[in-house]
Amino acid sequence: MNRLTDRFTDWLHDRVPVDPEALRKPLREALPIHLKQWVFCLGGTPAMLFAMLAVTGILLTFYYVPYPAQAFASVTNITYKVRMGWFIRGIHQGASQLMIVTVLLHMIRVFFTRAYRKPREFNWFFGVGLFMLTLTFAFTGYSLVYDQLSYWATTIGTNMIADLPLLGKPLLYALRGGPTVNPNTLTRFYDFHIGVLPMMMTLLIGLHIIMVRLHSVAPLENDPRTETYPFFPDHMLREVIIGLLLLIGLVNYVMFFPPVIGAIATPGDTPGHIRPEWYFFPTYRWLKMTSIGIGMAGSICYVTGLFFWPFVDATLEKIAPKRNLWLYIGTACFLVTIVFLLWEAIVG
Amino acid sequence: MSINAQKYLVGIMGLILLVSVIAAGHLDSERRKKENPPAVVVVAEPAVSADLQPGLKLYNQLSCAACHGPAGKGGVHNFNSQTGQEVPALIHVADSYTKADLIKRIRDGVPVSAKLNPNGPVPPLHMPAFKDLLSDQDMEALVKYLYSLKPAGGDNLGF
Repeated sequence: MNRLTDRFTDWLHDRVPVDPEALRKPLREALPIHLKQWVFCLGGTPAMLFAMLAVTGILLTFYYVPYPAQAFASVTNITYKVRMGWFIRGIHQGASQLMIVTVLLHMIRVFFTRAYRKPREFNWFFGVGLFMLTLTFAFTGYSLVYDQLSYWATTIGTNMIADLPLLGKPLLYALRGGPTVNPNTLTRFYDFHIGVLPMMMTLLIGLHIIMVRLHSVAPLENDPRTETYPFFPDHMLREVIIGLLLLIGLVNYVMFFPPVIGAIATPGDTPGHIRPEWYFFPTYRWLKMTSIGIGMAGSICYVTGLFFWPFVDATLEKIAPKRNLWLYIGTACFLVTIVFLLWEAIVG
Repeated sequence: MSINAQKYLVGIMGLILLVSVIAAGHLDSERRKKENPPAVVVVAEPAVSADLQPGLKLYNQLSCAACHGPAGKGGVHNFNSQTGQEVPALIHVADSYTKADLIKRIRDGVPVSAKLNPNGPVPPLHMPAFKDLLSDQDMEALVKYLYSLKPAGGDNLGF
C-alpha cells in the first residue's frame, strides 16, 4: 500500500514539481496561545459563511431570472416549487445576515485589542473594505427579490447616492442604468451580486489572509505568555467546530422560519412603511434625524474615520500619550451606532 | 478542551448536521405539498392608439411609471412632500401645463421637492432632468402621450 502511495506521490511530483514540505509549512504555523480563546477565532467565520453563500448562491442562479417581469415569479418558484428551493434560499439569506454579524464582531474584537496598529494598518484597510463589500452584497442581493419592500428599498437606497458630492449623480445613473429604477438596474445589480462583488471579495479575503501570514497574528497587549500552538490540527479544529455550529444553527433556523416573499413590486404603488434591512438602521436613523446634506456628510466622515482609524489612533497617541483617547472615542462611536440601531428597530 | 475531545465534538456535530439536513429534506416534500404560492398579479398596460405608441414606449423606457404610476395615474407615496405626500399624477397635465411649460419641466426636472413639514426629512423622490435623454422628436411624442392621458369628459377636474 505504502509503495503504491509513494509511487503515486513520485508520479505526481514529476508532473507538479512543488516541494510538499513547502505546502505543509503554513499548516504548521505556530500561533500565540491567546488564540485559544474562542473570541479570537471569529476571523475565519465570515470566510466560511462566504463559502456557504457562494455554494447556495450558485444553486439559486439555476432558477433566478434577473428581469423585472420574471424576477419575482422566479423567487416565488424557488420558495414554493423547486425541490429544497426554500431551504437553499433560507440558508443563503440567513448566512448573509450572519456574515454581517460575524464581520462586525471580528472588527469589534480587532478594534478593542488594537490589533490594527503599526505595522498592520493595511490589513485593517482590507478588513474595512471587506465589511463594506459585505454590506454592498446584502443590499444588491435584497434588491433582486423584487417584491414591494425590496423594490422600494432599492429606489430610496439608490436615491441617496445622488447626494454624494461631485460623483453622486453620474454614479447613480451608472448604477441604475437610467434616471430611475428600471430593468437595467436589476441586470446591473445582479451582475454586481454574482460577478463583480464575489471577485472583489475573494481578492480581498486572499490579501487579508496573506497579510495575517506575513505579519503573523497580532500579539495581545500586556500578555506575557510566549507559548504557541500549531495551526493544524489544533486551531483548524476550532474553526471546523464553529463552522459546524453555524451550519447546524442555520439549517434548524430555516426549518422553523422558512423564507417568505412579499407582494410583487409595483412601481406605481408605494407601501406605507418602507424601511431598509436592520444593518442599515443606524445610517437610516441618522439620515432621518438630519437633512440629506448633513446626513451624507456625517456618514462619509464616519466611514472615512473607520477606514483610517489606525492613523487616527497613532495621532491621538502622539497628542495625548497614555490617555486612552482611542478607547473613549471608539466606545462612544460604538454606543451611538448601537443606540441608533435599537432606536430605529424599536421606534421605527 | 483537549484535541481528542474536540475531535469527538466535531463527529457529534457532524451527525447532528446530517440529521438536521435529513429532517429538512423530509420537510421539503411536506412543505411543497401544502403551500399555495401567492398569486402573481400582472397589471395589463392600457391599450393606446398607434400614434401614441412612441410616447408610451418612452414613458416606460424612462421609467416614468416608477414615480407617476402606470398611465400617469399617480399614487406613489413620497413622504413629507408638499404635493400631498405623493408624486403628482400626470393625467391632468393637458389642463395644467402649456406644451412649452411641460417640455421645460421634463427637460430640467424638479431637483428638490418642497417639504410638507419644514423640520422633517427631505422627500426621497424628486424629478430628474431628462434633457440629455430625449431628442426633440422624442419630446414631441412623449408630450403627445402625456396630453392623451386626460380622462374622457374630465374637463371639470372633479369639482
